[in-house]
This record gives sequence, structure tokens and C-alpha cells, in this order.
Amino acid sequence: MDIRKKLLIVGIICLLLLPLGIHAQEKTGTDLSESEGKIWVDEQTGAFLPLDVSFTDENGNDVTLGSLIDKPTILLPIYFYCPNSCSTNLANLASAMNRMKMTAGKDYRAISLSFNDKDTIKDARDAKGNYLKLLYDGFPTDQWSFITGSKENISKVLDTIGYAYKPLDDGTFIHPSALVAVAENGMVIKYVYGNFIPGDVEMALAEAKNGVPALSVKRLLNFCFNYDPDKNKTLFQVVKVVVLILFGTLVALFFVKFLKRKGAET
Amino acid sequence: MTARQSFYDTPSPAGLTGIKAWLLTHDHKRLGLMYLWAVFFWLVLALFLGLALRTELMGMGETIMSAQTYNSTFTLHGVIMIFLFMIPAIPAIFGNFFLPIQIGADDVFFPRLNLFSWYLFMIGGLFAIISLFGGEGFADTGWTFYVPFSVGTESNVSMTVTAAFILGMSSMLTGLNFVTTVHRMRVKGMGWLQIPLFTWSLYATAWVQILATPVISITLVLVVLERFLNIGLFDPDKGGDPLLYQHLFWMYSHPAVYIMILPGMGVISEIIPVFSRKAIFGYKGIVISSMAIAVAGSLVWAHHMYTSGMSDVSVFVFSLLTYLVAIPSAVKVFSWLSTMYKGSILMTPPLLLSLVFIYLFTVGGLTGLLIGAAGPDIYVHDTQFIVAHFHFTMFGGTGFAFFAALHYWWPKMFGVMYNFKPAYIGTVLAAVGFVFHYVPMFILGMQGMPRRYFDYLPQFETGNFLAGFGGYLMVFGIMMMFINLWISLKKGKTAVDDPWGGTTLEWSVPSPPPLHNFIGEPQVKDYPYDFSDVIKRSAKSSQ
Repeated sequence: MDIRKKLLIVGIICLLLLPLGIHAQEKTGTDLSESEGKIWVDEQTGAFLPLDVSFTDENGNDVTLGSLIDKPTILLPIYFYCPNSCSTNLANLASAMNRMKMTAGKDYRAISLSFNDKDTIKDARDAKGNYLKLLYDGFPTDQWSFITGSKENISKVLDTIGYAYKPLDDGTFIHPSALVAVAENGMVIKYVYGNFIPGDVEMALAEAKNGVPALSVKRLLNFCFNYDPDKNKTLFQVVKVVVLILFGTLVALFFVKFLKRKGAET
Repeated sequence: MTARQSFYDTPSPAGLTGIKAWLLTHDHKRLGLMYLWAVFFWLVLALFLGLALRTELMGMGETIMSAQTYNSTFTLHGVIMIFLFMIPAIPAIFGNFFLPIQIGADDVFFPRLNLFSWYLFMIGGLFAIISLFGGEGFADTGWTFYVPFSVGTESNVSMTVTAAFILGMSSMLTGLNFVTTVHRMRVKGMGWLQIPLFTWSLYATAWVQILATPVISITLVLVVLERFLNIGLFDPDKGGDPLLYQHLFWMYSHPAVYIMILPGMGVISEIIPVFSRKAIFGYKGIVISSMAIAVAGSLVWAHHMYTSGMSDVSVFVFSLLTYLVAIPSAVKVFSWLSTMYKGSILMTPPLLLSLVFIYLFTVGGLTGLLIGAAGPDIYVHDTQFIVAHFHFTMFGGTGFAFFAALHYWWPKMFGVMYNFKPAYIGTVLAAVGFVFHYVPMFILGMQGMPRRYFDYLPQFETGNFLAGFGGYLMVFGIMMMFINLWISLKKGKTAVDDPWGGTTLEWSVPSPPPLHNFIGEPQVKDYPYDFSDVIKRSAKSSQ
């Protein structure tokens, strides 16, 4: 067997072994990311929320989670003032509640918990006013609470449900969009991701009513983060120019070769 | 050795015997058949997995499998159906077998590469399965493997993307082979507009395969970089973009949808004129629409992502482009129907299957317009409506085109004719079962039943229960068709060279064809669908 054939065979074997190597690396990759807290939502179904932790609702009343959760409950971690994309989470939830067959107050209630300890009661009240407008007339307004609290208390709840967020320098946050369905006794039952389609939320609430932790359907995990599309434009321009030059050179080379061949033929 | 001796009796390279004559063959026809058996195996497996899913859904709550098993089963069903049946089925089986014959060649341009593609296909399939069983059990993310779930969890995303890459490589090499063959191997006298439409559709598909597949390999490299070096390409925390993965994934996977459907359309364009005894209406229109679908279909990937938080401008542009794809598809449907208009129609199983294709594909296409528009898509996004829609296009489209191709070319491939009656009954059962299976899903989706659940709310029980019966009927019909074909191998009558009255070159050679396909010099007609000789012949025989 000549050397080229041997090299080819070795090459093919290496190629075939590549995925095994990648697979071996995956484990370390996951561990690393864990230590950096990169798992944004680490599902904790079956855990119990700390029901005695106190918060303040949009009217300035002191409430505990225990006093609010008296039926299957949607818990949405969020922050109330967000410059661009985050409002979609609350809006999506409102639109889902509009289209659901279950009735707020009778079958479920909703809680928006701000993880920004700088959010004030006024922020909560403004946000609530805003999103109530999206709901149908006659929605029992006391069934959707917007609560704020101290950093310590927020962490107690978010750690229990395994929800991670990251504050940025400009006062905004990177956070995943996920809500949690909680049973009457405070047990975490199910996570709902993505755009909160009504069917998903209703299923989660139905399971919360049964009180048995359920497997989540892992749809796309959306993120909220603030970004400036006008930033870092230079890099894109450079990439564009380089690609154009490369492409132009290729086309030119092709034609030079093609014309040469044509010339030779004639 | 006579000139008519079939390729079954003449191994290539010469001298190989037994299993070696198959596993080391360079003959495009043997490779086509090897793909046939592999694809057949996957199809039947995935069909029964699908049936198990619907059986679970026939009753509320847990019936035959748990939620975790259900999630893994639908992932497995999707991965097998997409990567191991839909994408390779028509190009790899019928393309390999008939493309060279249709253009008057004795083989593809790179026969060894062709064999290599088959091995890649088998290895890729093996990897896909290992990745599903390895690690912490099955992946449960569905066949799209969206990050960050797929990066954060212990599922074998790299391995599965590698499998997709190897399978993609296989289909890319096949594509390369086809493009080269069509350019370089056409028999003298066959111009571009004398190429049969099935070959044209394979040619258009081959370009998509060559151009779109590298994107999935780039994605593989990026996922590896992300996991190995942790550089945060998809992680907003590190300045990455979680949408990037989706863009890259769909940039390959949406064109893959056209890799699935275009060859199917090519099959129908062959069958309809033959059984209408009439030249195909708008030959050039069909050719141009095939190329248009290939080009426009490569530019619409982001319509899978309307709700993912893209900018409104992107949503608008992709919505518009999606609508544009509908035009060439409609041109084809119009041409097929116009071909039949005032034709002298001869009913046969392949024609019946083609008609079923046209009906199901049209419903699939029209519901596609509904979800191609950004507005209504948000309403039915991630519901059973989507499941019904893509089953109508993929299974009702590609699946039935595959069955039609199987019935159309079966006598040529094996030299035997099957029994028509069971084929008709099987087709009708499959088609009726299909409609009863998927129409309830449209309704359930409109009512808001989300997809991917092993359980549902009480108001969806009737719909799911009824859909289950349709599923059983459909699988029964399909199995009936397959068993009928299987029986024909043992007991079928010998097929003549041209049992249907076809005009393309494959009908001018013996059934099954000899090793080098043609006995004499292939006679190219000025127009590939000129039926005047066929009509004359049948007039003579009826006198």
C-alpha cells in the first residue's frame, strides 16, 4: 500500500472518530458552564417555594407568596422597566390569558415577580396598568399581582426555581423567558418556555391542579437582553468588504481561466 | 451473455460474487436498490413509532408510554423520517437508478463516489441512532436541537449534528455526482430542453444539496467551538446571539424541505403525461419553476422563526419571500392538471397515487400560506396545526410521490408486474386514513392544542381519539401496498420493456436493464414527451 493510501485511510478513521472526541469534550464543556452559572433555567420540579418570604405588591401591601398562592398559579420572573424587548414576556402572558379557556380567579392566578430589587411599587403599578389594558374586560384585576422585594428574598425564590439572570452595567438584565406553574401548596410543577402559547400555559395549570410535577416541553428558550444594533458596525463593514474582495477575485480568476481555455481552443 | 442480460446477473466490477457484488459495486442501479432497502427499513420503523405516538394520544393521560418516552419517541420519529427517509428517498433510490438512463448514460460520472455516498449514508444513520441512545438516554429536544437547551443539557447534540453532517455529506456528494452527470454524460443529441422532467428536478435539487449542506457543517464547527472553548457564540452573556444557531440550522434545514419535495414533483411530472397520453403542459414552465423553487426556497429559512424575536423588517421580508415560493409550486400543479385536461386518461396505481399527491400537497401548500404569513402564524405557532401542515406537505407530498415512484418504476427495476387491485385498495385506504388522521389535527391546532405533548386538556379528547383511527387506517393501507409489491417479487408476472407506454429513455431498455443500460444507441426524441408513437402503437393493437 503506498503512503498516500495509508494517509487517506488514517484521515478517514480520524474523521470518523471526531464525534467521539467531541462527545468526550462535551462533558467538560457542561461542567465549566455550570461553574460559571450558564445554565439559565435549571428545572426544579417538585421543589416547594418558600411561602413565607415577604414581598410588596403593586398597591404597597406586604404579601407573602403563601398569602397569594391559593390556587394553581403562574409565576413569571421579570423586571418591570425594560427599554426594549422584555415587555413581550408580559404581553405574551396577557395574550395567553386572553385566549385560555380557564378563568382567572376561578382556576388560576398569576404573579409577576420582579428580580430587579430597584423596581419600585410605582413601577409595579405602572406595569400592571399597562398590561391590564391588553386583557379582556372584566378580568379580575386582583388575580394578577406585580410584586417587588429585597434582593435576598428575590434570590430565595429564584434559587428555588433554578432561574438565573444577569444584571448589566446599564441597569438592564439578560434573562431567559420562562414561567413556572405552581400548585396550590407551593410545589413547582412545570416550566413553560418561549412565547407562552395558551395551550402550553393551560396544560401547565391543569397539571398544577393535579399537583404532580410534570415534564416540560423544551421549546425554544428565548432571551431578553438589551442591545444596540448600531454598535460594532465597523466589523461588519470589514467582513462585507473582505467577502466582496474574495468573491470578486474568485470570479475574476474563473473568467481568466475560462477565457484562456476558450482562447486555446480557438 | 446476451445483450439483454440484466444487471442482476452481471456484477460490476466483474468477477465479484454474492454479497460482495453488492457491497463493492459501482453500478448505479445496484446502489439505487441498496438505498431502497435501507430507506425501506427506516421508513417502516419510523411509521410504527409514529403510530405508537398517536396511540398514546388516543386517550387522555398516560396510556402506553410515559412523558419522557413520548418526547424521545417523537424525536426519534422526526430524525429518522427527515434524515433517513424524506431527504434520501427519491434522489438516492430513483435518482441513482434512473437519472443516468433518462439521459442515455451507462452510469453516473463518479461511480466510486456514488458507492462512498452510500457508505456515508449508512454510517450517518448509525450515528444518528447511537446519538439517540447514548449519553443520558434519548435526546428530547425534537429534531431541531435548539440551543441553549441542547448545549446546556446532557443530550448528544454534537453527535447528532455530526450525524446530520455525515448524512448531509452523503446527499451533497450524490448531488455533486448528479450535477456532473447531467452536464457531462448526456447522450449526444440531448439538449437541455430534451432532458426528462424527473432528471431536471434532480438537477435543481442537486444544486440545493451542494450549496446548503456546507452550512450545517459550519454549524457543527461553531457548536464544537461553543462547547469546547466556551466562547459564547450563542450566549448573550458573552455577547453572542441565541438566534444565530436557529438561523444556521434553518439555513440548511429549510432548503432540505425542498430537497425533499422537488424530486417528488419530478416524479409526478413523469407519471401524469404518461397516463394522460398527452405531452406535458408547460414543459419549460415546469423546468423554470423547479429552478425557481430551488433558488427561492434557499432564501426563506427564517419563516420558522417569526416568533423568535427577529426584527419586524426581517419578518416582513421572509414572509414575502415565503409567498413567492408558492408561485412556482402553483405553476406545477396547474401544469399537471392542464396536462390531464382532454387527455386520454388510463387509470393505474401510479396515477392514482399521483392524484392523491396533488390533492394532499395542495392542501399542505395552502395551509402553508396561512402560516407563512407572520400574522396568523403567531396564532397557530407550535400547535397541532403545524404538525398537520408539515405532514400534509412532507408525507402527503414526498411520501405519496415516493409510493407513486415505487409503483411506476417497480416493473423496470425488478422486471415484474404487481397486482393492481391490492395496490388500488391500499392507496385508497392510505389516502382516506391520511385525511382522517391529519384533518382533526388542523382543527385541534386551531383550538389551541400545543404540539409535542403526550397529554392534553379534556376538550381535545374526541379529536385525538378520532385521529388515531385515521392513523391505523393509513398505516394499514401503506403496509398493504408494500406487501403487494413484495408478493410481486415472488409471484408477479414478467413485465415487458414498456408496460405503461412511457416515452422517456428508461422505457426503451429491457426490464430490468442490462449492466450498461442500453443495448443500442439511445434514440433521443426532439421532445421528451411526444406520445404520437405510443398512440399509434395502441391504435394498431386495438384494430
